[in-house]
This record gives sequence, structure tokens and C-alpha cells, in this order.
Amino acid sequence: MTARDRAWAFHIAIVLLGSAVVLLVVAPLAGMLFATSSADLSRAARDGQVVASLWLTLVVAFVATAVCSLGGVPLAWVLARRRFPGRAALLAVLDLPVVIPHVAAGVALLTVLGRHTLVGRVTGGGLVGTTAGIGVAMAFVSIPFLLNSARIGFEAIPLRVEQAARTLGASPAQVFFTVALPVAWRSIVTGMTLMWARGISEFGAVVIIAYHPMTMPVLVFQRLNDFGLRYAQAAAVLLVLVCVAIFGTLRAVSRPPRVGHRGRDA
Amino acid sequence: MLELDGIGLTLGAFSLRDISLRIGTGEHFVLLGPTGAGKTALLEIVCGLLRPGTGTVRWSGRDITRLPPESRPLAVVFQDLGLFDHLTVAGNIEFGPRVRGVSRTVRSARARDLAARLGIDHLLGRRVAGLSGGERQRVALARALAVEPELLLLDEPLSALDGVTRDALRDELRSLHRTNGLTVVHVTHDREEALYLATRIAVLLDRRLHPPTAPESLFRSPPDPDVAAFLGLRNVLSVDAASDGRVVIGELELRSDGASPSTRAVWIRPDAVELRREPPELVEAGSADVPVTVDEAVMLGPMTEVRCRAGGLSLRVLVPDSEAVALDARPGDRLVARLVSRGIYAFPTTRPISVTS
Repeated sequence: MTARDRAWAFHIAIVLLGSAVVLLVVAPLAGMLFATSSADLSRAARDGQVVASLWLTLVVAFVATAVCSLGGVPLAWVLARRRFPGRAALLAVLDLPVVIPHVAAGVALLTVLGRHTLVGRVTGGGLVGTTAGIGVAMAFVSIPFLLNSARIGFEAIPLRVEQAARTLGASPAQVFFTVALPVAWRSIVTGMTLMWARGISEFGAVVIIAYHPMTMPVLVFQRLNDFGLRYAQAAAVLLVLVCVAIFGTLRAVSRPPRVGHRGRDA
Repeated sequence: MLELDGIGLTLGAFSLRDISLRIGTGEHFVLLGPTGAGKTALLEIVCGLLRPGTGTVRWSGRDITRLPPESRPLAVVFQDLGLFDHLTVAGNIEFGPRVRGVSRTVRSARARDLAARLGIDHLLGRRVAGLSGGERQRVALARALAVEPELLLLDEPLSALDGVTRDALRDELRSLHRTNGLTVVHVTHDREEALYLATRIAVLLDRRLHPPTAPESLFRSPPDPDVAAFLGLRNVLSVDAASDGRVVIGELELRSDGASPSTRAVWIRPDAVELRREPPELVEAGSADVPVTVDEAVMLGPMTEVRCRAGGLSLRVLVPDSEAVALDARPGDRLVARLVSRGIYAFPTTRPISVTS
């Protein structure tokens, strides 16, 4: 076998293995899309329970993302810029929601959101079975996506840029608002998008905190159990289409502009 | 006046100890030293980005050691600039005045004025990301000057530039200092830059700060052989024996005005040696003349460096190019070098020499 043949064999192996991965993602989505008739889809779009559930899911996940961003984005900046004892441990803890089973996350949340907890006493009955409880469950499982994306965005800003701002008279707060945020906004929007998407898709933790009011993943599960695949499928396709439209738009907005290479010599 | 008293800093394996300096108002003070000497760390202590382990920093008599950077009356041009790529040139220049609460009209006028002085007024609306190295450097300088600092800190401000741009900006720095009388602390490893711009120079070498001197004194009477070697001075030689007015180096006994029994090293000034094409047999014993053999002659623009050997020593002699043409020194030629006593500088230090060049 010549060197040229070996190179071809390597390329073909990459194409075949890569195609299998692409197929793994595309096949179920395409199968579901093609197996759903437009009549079923239209019926689902006019189904009051589906529409209410879709709105609930999108809005609660969005509010959870927005509220978490208020504290999460400054926290990500601090994690990117400060070195302090226990930082590595804190980073590991903040990543835990990604690695623990989400049903376990739901159970863990029950121990702080239930009727007989501090939260339960403060709220007069706890957050189980409430929209707020759903929001907390969504936030718990999805916050690492925001924190990590924003932190990586802040870390990409050369430290010297922020130091230069300080020496020019900017306070730490001014550095955050006038330098760090405007430079890292794309990473922050990407993190918020991922967090929102992850919140929308959450089933395990949400179903333990609140079966009702029903979010879309819970509704799809309930319809699959009670009415069968055909009824679940239409709702699922509707959710996927709405998500693709929203996240496609956000991704396009937060993509860095294409710039040509320019020489920097004087 | 900027005063550093007993500054000490430890950062991992790196440390600075007991650095003290007085820099007068209106000076262009250059801290000269090789890469890794701690110059930038010292500058960061002055601007408040690093807090010293020991010592104090005072400006106009006021202790500013613990003031945050934004409260100090200074501005910095960093080696890596730290420009705001998300802003235009005007946005960069106006940044300092903006965060200090200067009105839009005033800061905008200030930005236009500074941009015009530094020749970047045509770039005010451009983003800094696409600018050339020289343009970026000017933006950083204008940005620092826009806060009207009492003290300007420059960290290797010209090191990333090509020769022509560097020379132009060096002239601008000199002219800026002369016109507005700003106090400047400038760190660099570039000897020529230091010589060109400094009112006084302090050399930071091996974590030791040598006392500041006028540029001419530093280059004409370097404090010790290590500093001389760092300054790129040639013919820094260890002395085997010394007495008043005389030194012995290898087989040569030479007259040196400043020599004393404690002299350990001398510097034979390459431009104070006179080379003549004469028969070596005519050299009188005990005179300032020494027979030499040429190794090679290298043209360095207006001067030619003739490398030769004399009595076991390697000597470098600088000859004006016009004389070099007449001398026409070639490898193997036997010439006569006149080593006059005023051209042989005896270092005042009694420390053993660690570097020869």
C-alpha cells in the first residue's frame, strides 16, 4: 500500500465513522419528523394543553436563565479572574449538576423545596408542584452551561486589557460593565442559550418537583403513556421545531463576524 | 517626586529585594535591564497592579502603596498595550476620561487633540483590531495621555515595532516629554532607547538596582563590569595585577589613569584605541603602543570593528569608516595599537569580575 493509498484509507475511515455519528443524531429526529403528518402537527399546534405547556416550558426556562444570569455572569467573571483557596473545588461543585443523574437531582431538590423545609416555611407550603419549583429544577440542572461558557469567554480576554482599564481609572465594577461584558457578550449569550435549551429539555428533575403544571417533556411522556406514540410524537415535533427556530436565530446573532486577515505591520 | 523605599516582592521563584529610588518631577527616568530582571514587576508595583511584600511607594510625599490602580495619578503604556478591541480608536482614547466622569465634549476634544499630535486623527472612527503595530502603539500612548496623568509609566513601549516606526515614535516620545514636562518612568532592555530618551538611567541587573546616573556617565564610567557587559561595552577585561596608574593584563602592562592597587577590571574603550600600519619591531618597550594581529574587520555602518589579538588578549577596536578604508585591515595583518591611559577605564568596584566581553 502506497502512502497515497494509506492517506485515502484514513480519510475513508474518518468519513465512515463520522457518518455513523451524524446518523445517530439525525436519524431519530428525521424519523420522528417524517412519521408525523401535517394534520397531526396542526392538531397539536391547536391543542390548548400543548400550547399552554409549550409556553410554560419556554417562559419558565427563560426566566430561570435570566434570573440565574444576574448572579451567574458576575460569578463566572470572578471565577475567571480571581485565584483563591478552594477555587478548583468550587468549579467542580458547580459542574456537579451536569454529571449527577437528573432524577437524583430532583430528589435532592425535594429536600430543600418541600413543605417541611426552610423554603417550605418561608413560602408557605414549599415549591413542589409550582411553576417556581419547575424553574428552580430547570436552573439547577442547566446553570453549569451558563457558568462555563461565560467563564471561558472572560478568560479569553487578556488580563492586560482589564488591568489597563484599572490604570486608566476604572473601578472593578466599571471594568466589568465597560470591558469584560462588552468583550465576552457572545460567550455569555451562547451560555444563556445553552442554559435555556437545557432547561426546556429537562424531564427527570422537573417531573419529581412538579408533574403539574406540565412542561412539554412531561406532557410528551404523559401522552406517550396514556395515548400512545402518535399523540406524543406530534407534541414532541412541535417542541423540536420551536426550539430549532429559536436557537437557530440566537446562534446566528451570537456568531462572531467573519473578518479577513490584515497585516499588523506598520 | 516618586519615591520607592525598600521595595521587596516575592512571586514564586522570582524576588526583588530592598529597591529604593527617588525620581524627580519632570524626569524621563529609564529603568534599564535584561528580560526577566523584574522591571515590569517594579512598574506594576508603582501603578498598583502588584502589592509589594515590603516597602512603600510615595508620590509627592503621599503614601500610595495601598491605593488601588484607579486612584493613582498615573497612566501606563504596557508592552502588550491592552487596547480595547471592542472600541474604536476614539473610544479607546476617551476611555479613561469617560470612566473618570469627564464630560463628552471635553473628552472628545481631548481625544481629537491627542490624536492629531500623534498623527492618528484619521483613524479615530476605526476599530483598533485592524491597525498596524505603530498605529496601535500611538493609540495606547494617546489613551494614557488622555487622562492627563502626573506620572506616565512606559513598559518597553517600542520593543514590538520595526526600526523605522520605532525611531519615529522614539522622537515623538522625546518631543512629548520636552513639551509637556511630564514625569516619565520608562522600563526597557534597549540601551539605545535608554540613552536617547533618559534624563537618568538606573540599571536593574541580577535583582540589584545600581544607583541612577546620567546616561553619559553610565556609558562613559559604568559602575561595574557586569553593568558594562550588559550595556554591550566591548573589551571589559579582568586585571591580573594593579598599582597606581598601571594594570597588568596577561602579558601586557598598561597605563590607566584611574587604576589603583584595588582595581580588579578595566574597560579598554574600543574607540580610544588607535590602530596604525607600522612595523611591530619599531614598538618601544614600556610605551602605549602594542603589536596586534588582525583576526577580522567587520563594517558596522559608520564605524568598522577591527577584531585583533595582542599579547594573548582579544581586543575590539572601533575605527571610523573613512580611516578603515585607509587602514585596510585584513585577517593576519600585523598592526600597532596605541592604548592610551585615558582610554583604559578602571572600574571603581573591588568585586571580582564575573563577566568579560
